[in-house]
Amino acid sequence: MTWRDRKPRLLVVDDEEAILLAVHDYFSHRGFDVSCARDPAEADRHLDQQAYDGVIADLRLSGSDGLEGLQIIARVRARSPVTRTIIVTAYGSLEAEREARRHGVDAFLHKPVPLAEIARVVTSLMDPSLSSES
Amino acid sequence: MSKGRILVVDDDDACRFGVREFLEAHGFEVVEADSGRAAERAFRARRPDVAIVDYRLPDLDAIELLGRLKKVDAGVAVVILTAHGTIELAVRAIKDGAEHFLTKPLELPALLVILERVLEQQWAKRRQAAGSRRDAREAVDPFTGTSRAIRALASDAEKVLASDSPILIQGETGAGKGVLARWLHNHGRRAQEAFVDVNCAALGRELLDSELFGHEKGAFTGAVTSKAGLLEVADRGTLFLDEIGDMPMEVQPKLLKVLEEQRFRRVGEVRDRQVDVRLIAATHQDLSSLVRERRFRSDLYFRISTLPLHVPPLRERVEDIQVLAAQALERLAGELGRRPLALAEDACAALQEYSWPGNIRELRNVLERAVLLARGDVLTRHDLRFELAAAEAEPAAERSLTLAELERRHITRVLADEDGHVERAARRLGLPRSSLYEKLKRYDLARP
Repeated sequence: MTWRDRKPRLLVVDDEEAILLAVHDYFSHRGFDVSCARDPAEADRHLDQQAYDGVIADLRLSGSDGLEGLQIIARVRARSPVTRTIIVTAYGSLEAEREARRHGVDAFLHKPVPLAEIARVVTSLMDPSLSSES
Repeated sequence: MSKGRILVVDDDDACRFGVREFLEAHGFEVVEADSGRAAERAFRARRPDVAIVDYRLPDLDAIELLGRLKKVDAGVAVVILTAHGTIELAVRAIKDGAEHFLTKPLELPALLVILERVLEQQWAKRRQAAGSRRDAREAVDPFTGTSRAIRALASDAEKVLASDSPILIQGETGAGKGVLARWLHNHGRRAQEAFVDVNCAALGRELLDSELFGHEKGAFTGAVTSKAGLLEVADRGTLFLDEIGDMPMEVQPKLLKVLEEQRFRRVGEVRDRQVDVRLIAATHQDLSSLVRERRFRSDLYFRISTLPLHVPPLRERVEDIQVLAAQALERLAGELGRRPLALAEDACAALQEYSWPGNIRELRNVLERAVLLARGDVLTRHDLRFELAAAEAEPAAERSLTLAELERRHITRVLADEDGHVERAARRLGLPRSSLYEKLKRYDLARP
């Protein structure tokens, strides 16, 4: 793991701007380098530019019934096996969670979830001493 | 949510442990203390509803402790336990304000009955203290009508009842956000507790601070006595914060702390207090744009926006207007002690054509005025005076306008009515002055 030498990089994907801002503010204040994306295409552009230590994505983007969050996870997985992935969703059906696990998601969190809890999960996933892949 | 917070004070570990096990199994939250001083500390920090105190403590006697606890919170109920139950002792304890006196070995079922009775009395008192306006509004059904918009709201509202997370109600002025908040409280798990209603726009920062969180004696000039905040009054119940978009930035972190940690401090106090409230917040503003403009904290938005409810404006539920009007007329008739007036067909059509910027509240106002002025048993179009005078002249044209254009025209009219006085116009429009300035700029309306 190299992120100990620099700020950990986090990509956050959510179609609601205010939520993006909330996650951005929270993690920036805690020493993360945070990029934001509103849709899968924008997330792709970020993923092409640099590697991320963690990706937090909403399950449903652009108000649709689809599970675009999983597409993003799949693309992250295809690029980098060490990037940690987290889905945060208000629509957490069991099937959705199973599907997410099948895509290799590391954590599946249900809203309402406090920001502090997301941070706890992110940090424990990124800490190499707790990670089998590092 | 626990049934009640009980402080158990006894230096006998086994006895304390037994009582704790029993009470927790019956849904109470238990705080323990093994001495009088520890009891005082725990009492200040946790504010239990009832203290069960053993008569013999290593440092104080129960009667002395009783006095000290009552000084901190006169509303606390104290149950005294003793191994040597003499009549004199019991009389003295009760005289000094103990609610009950029990002898050891303790019969736990008897304790349970006493606790439940004491808590019931206490909560009845607290509900009265809340003095929340349990007026006619309480009975109003927020989901009257058959329109898709209102049925969707009814089904969303049903879904959030089971949860204890904060709810965010968004909708225009007068659309019925307060009525919905009240309904959610009355149908939720906290229905038997207080419903405390605070309008964030009506109070300045300092007043909102001390109203909400309370203050200690001497916290600021004029704070001659300590005062409990509305949060404490709402403990175990619902706190309804109307116009949360107007909550000052300085107050927002304190509210966030209440939501995340169930803790707060009175103004001027050094220790945290615990509180258990369900928050229902409402606003007519677009909170997410306030977040983008950095006028509302993003972390607070994140915390309160997961269960959003949208109250539709009246113009999006035209098919409900007739039944809403009939309901309002019946209500007015009741208040005036008259037979309800009927609505003529042309009046009904006029109501349906109007754009209702003030929503249901405006509908009631228009009907109330009409009822007072009407001479017959039937309201006709002629009896109706709308707040937007121009709407009467060209209702059809008005309805084909975009929302932005309608807003622009309405602002122009109100501003003209107020002789170009922005502050007065903002008040009438239910907007903060700064938002009105922004709109004036956006619509390119020069200020006269």
